[in-house]
Order: sequence, then C-alpha cells, then structure tokens
Amino acid sequence: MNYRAVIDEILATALKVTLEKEQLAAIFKKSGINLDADMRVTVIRGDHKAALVALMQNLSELAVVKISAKQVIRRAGLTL
Amino acid sequence: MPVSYNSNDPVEIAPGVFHLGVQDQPNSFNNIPYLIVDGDEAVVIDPGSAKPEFYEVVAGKIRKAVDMRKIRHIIVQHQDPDLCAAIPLLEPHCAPDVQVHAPLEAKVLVQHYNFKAKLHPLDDDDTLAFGNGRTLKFIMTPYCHFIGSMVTYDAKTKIVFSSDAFGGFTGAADLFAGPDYPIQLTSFLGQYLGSKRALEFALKRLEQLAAGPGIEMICPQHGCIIPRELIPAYLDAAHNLHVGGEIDSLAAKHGITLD
Repeated sequence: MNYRAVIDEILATALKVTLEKEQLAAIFKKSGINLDADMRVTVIRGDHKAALVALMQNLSELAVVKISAKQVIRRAGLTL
Repeated sequence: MPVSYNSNDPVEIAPGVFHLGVQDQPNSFNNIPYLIVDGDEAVVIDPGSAKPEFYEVVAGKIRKAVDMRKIRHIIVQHQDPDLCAAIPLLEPHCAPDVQVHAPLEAKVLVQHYNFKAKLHPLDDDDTLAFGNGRTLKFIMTPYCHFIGSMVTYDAKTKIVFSSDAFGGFTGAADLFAGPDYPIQLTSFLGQYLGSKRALEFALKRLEQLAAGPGIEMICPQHGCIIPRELIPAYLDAAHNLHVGGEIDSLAAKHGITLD
C-alpha cells in the first residue's frame, strides 16, 4: 500500500476544505510529516503507515479535515 | 452581484432574496440563513446559530434589508442547532403573529428551542403563500440527512433553498461554487449522508423540479450557491457520491460483516 500517496491526497483535500494552513502544518509536523512553505510534503519521519495513523489521531483538532481524510482512506481501501 | 460576502452586508441574490451568510473559518462550516422580502412580508429560512458571533451578524444583515417586524414566518428545514438555535433570539423582533414552520418529524424536536411562536408542521408539497400570492413549496427529502428534512422552492425566483443538501466544507466567503467546490461538497455530503436511497430520492425530486418549472440556483445552508449552469454537473456528482461509508470503516475495524 502506498501510504505516501494517501498522505499526499489527504493534504491536497485538506487544502481545499480549510483555510487554517498554519494549524494544518503544525498537525502534520506533530505527526512526523514536514511540509514546506508551499504546503508540500518534504519529509516523513519513520514508517509511513505509522505517520498516517498519527496524522489521523492528530487531525481531530481540525474536524472537517479529518472527516475529509476518512473518505480518502476509505477510497484507498485502507483500514487503520 | 459580488463574488463574495462580508460580515456586514446582506447580498441580494435575486429580487427580494438575501444571503445572510456568516463565515466560520476555523471550522470551515459557514452558516447561511436566507431572507425573502416581498411587499410587507418577510420570511427567514434557517435563521442559524445562537452564538453571538453568528446571530449578531445575521440580525445586523436582516436589519439592513428589512424592518424585522415584517418577518411573519421562520422556516427551518430540519432540527439542527446551526439552523434553529437563533429562533428564540430572533422571535421577539419579528411580527407579533410570527410563525415557525418545520417538517412534521422535526417539529417534536424543534419545540425544544423554547420559543413562544406557533410551531406549524409541514408535510410534502405543503405551501406557504404570501399575501400577494407568492408561494413557497416544501419538498420533503426524508433521511437526507434526517427523517424530517426538506428543501424549499420559491416559485417566483426558482430558487431551491437546500439546507444541508449541496452544502460543502469551506471557511471562505465565496458566494458561488468555484473550482474547489466539488471536493468541498463531496467531503461534506459523503460523510454526513447515510443512505444512497435517500440521496437518490432527493436528487430525483430536484431533477423533477429542474425539468418542470426550472431551478435558477441551489442555495445551501453551508458552502456556496450553485448557479443554474452548474446544476447538472453537481447533480451528476451527487449521483456518483458514495455515502454511509463510515459504517463500512467501523465495521471493518470491529470485524463486523454487514449484508
């Protein structure tokens, strides 16, 4: 499973549904995923699946992004 | 017409029809009541939140559009607090005989917002006529997303006030659907709707309207207005929506098999 592609799609969707970019970047960073100034993934620290699991936990702080991300994960056929 | 709305002014989206939207940027869940003014009568549709940062904006916009004492009807299209919580705040400023109208199945819940006005239950194809004959038609959209859900059709302007249907996640103040709205809409409806059958019924009712008297715009209570030229594309997108998926996710997580 390409967890990196799922993380990228979650980010792309997030940028369409929220204007809270600073908070979004902070949540990604807390989950081990660094973004650059253009809000693109630069580094994922450690295992990509673990980063995705952490991201989904931390996204509760931005509810609409987590709601959107759940659908991305379903479309990818993942169960976390 | 402007392309966005601000925190101070109502936007007249059709003659006598005003968008009273309030941004909710942190939550991407903008709150959009509507006001219809015709002669000496006014109707508020889904008046919105009781939180001061929402209600005070909506009340200010109404005051700029009409004398609030002309409001004779408040319509709520289901029972959620983001539509209904403002009723007891708005009511004292309205006409003394103001009535609240809600779908039959929502009425038993709407009463708990604790207002004094008469609460009038609505059923499918009921209408509300202004003194001059202008008619609002109520179209039930059961289980989309609650048994007591409906949309309202203004025959004069051919506007559908769609409540949560065709809503979307956005914190921006764009009046009309733009390039990101398909994702904003599907992210919202894909999770908040549970039944494909309910969605299809609602869509087919709207398609009947579009093929009959016509629809000029769809005005949701969250998100952006969908103008006539984009309606077919959004109807198609809605037909292709996968809804109720949260059940599949949780069933897989907990090892539950469903038929």
